[in-house]
Amino acid sequence: MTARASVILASAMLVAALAACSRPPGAVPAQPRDLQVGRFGVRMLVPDDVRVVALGARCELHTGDGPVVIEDLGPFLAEAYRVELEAARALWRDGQGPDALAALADLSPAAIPAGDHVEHREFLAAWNGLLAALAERPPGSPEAAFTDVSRRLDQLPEPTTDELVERATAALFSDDERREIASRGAMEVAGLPAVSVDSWYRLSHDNASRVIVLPLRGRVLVFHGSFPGLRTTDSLVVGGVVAAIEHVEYQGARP
Amino acid sequence: MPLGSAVVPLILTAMLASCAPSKSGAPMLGAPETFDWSGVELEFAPPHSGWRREGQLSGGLRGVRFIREHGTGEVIEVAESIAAADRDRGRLLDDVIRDIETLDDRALRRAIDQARWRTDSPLTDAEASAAPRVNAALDEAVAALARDDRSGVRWAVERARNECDLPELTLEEAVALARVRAEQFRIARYEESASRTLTSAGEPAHLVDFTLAVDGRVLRCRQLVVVHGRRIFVMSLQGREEDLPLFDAVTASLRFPDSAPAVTP
Repeated sequence: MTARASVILASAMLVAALAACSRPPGAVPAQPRDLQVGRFGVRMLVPDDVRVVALGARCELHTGDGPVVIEDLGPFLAEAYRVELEAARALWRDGQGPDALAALADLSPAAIPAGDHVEHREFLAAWNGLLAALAERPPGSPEAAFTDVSRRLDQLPEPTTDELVERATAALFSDDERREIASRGAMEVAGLPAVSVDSWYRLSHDNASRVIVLPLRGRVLVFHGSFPGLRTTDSLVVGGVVAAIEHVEYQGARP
Repeated sequence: MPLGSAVVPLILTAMLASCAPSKSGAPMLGAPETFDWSGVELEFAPPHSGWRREGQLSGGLRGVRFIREHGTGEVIEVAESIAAADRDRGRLLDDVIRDIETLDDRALRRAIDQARWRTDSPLTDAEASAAPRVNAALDEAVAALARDDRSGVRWAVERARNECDLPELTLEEAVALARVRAEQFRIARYEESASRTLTSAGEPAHLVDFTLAVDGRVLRCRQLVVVHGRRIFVMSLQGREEDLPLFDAVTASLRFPDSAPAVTP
């Protein structure tokens, strides 16, 4: 083999190796697609061989490596609760009391952070008072109860991003005490600030999982996937899905 | 030498390098990892490759097990004694004290109940004496919570916390609890060849060499029990003679990050 042929062969091997690392085998062209995930609109490039299963607040992307889930975890901050509260108030004023009650009953205000246990207890009492008023137990106008909850929302402390991420991951892993956080770091999703959280099984440091937490307007959108047997999520499909996202927007409470 | 002739072997060498043993012939270990199974961190370097891992939660131990891939049952375990860890209530009570003002009544009651000390089969006389006092203080905390008196809860939980500061376990106490024994094996024949005390990761430790004969096959085994404060850590090998250097390298990499670094003259 001549020196020139050797150089060409070596270069070809290098290019082939790099190509194999940078693009999954059999990748097919991706098409932009608009997904509705809870209160969020997500525009992303979805390859034709990825199956999308929309389940309301949860959207599953079935890839060859396992499903990646995009999920609206719901309101986490007072700002998002206020939006839901005002939407429910509008429904009630429009004569749709049962719908207003149903909309608020779906929320979990017990997890909302308060300054201390007394403030937390009083907030929950006001919230439950509003639900009782909407259910007409006792009969009466819920208007004052709406105003009371709204006022208390204004007084709740604003958690830090770390606290928010901690609550979001706790909500995801609430049924899996075996899991612990391995690392986390700041990143961007479609130009929006987000936090990437890698976790694994506490005992063995395997079964890696990556969660990307995107707080937006007091709600939390997460992207997550689990990979049994693996100890690292580097370069795995969650990152690929997030990289394919072109735009995320909060679309407000439904009328 | 032409450039191309040099590049091809270079690529192949680089690809093979990750699979080869180290130049010195020493066993290859992975990067050190820090594990926290119940509030105390330990760090060690696991086998580099060729060993899959899984969680271990059996035999009174909680930890990780490395199993040789395509092997015949060779296992390296690094684990913590559950009995010793569950009797260390200080960490739980520290969490309760930190969260007294923020937890709601039900969550605080649950946290207090979870911090109660088991009173059956105490490991030491000091624990047998302290456990009832801790639980009595926690009873007072529950009573204060029922009166909606968070100051009273704090006072009682802090008193319980002060009772938890017991002397460290001795190596003798740890060995009595965690050392391998012939009666643990019903089918395999246990034969001990050596045992000695030593220091591991700056802590007192006890090592046992033994074999297990089962179905005409003899397994080479080694167990290391290490005491760290009121915790007991157990590292063990069940495998072949040639696995001993790897096991010894794993044990030599053991470190407790919460310990002060060793002072060298």
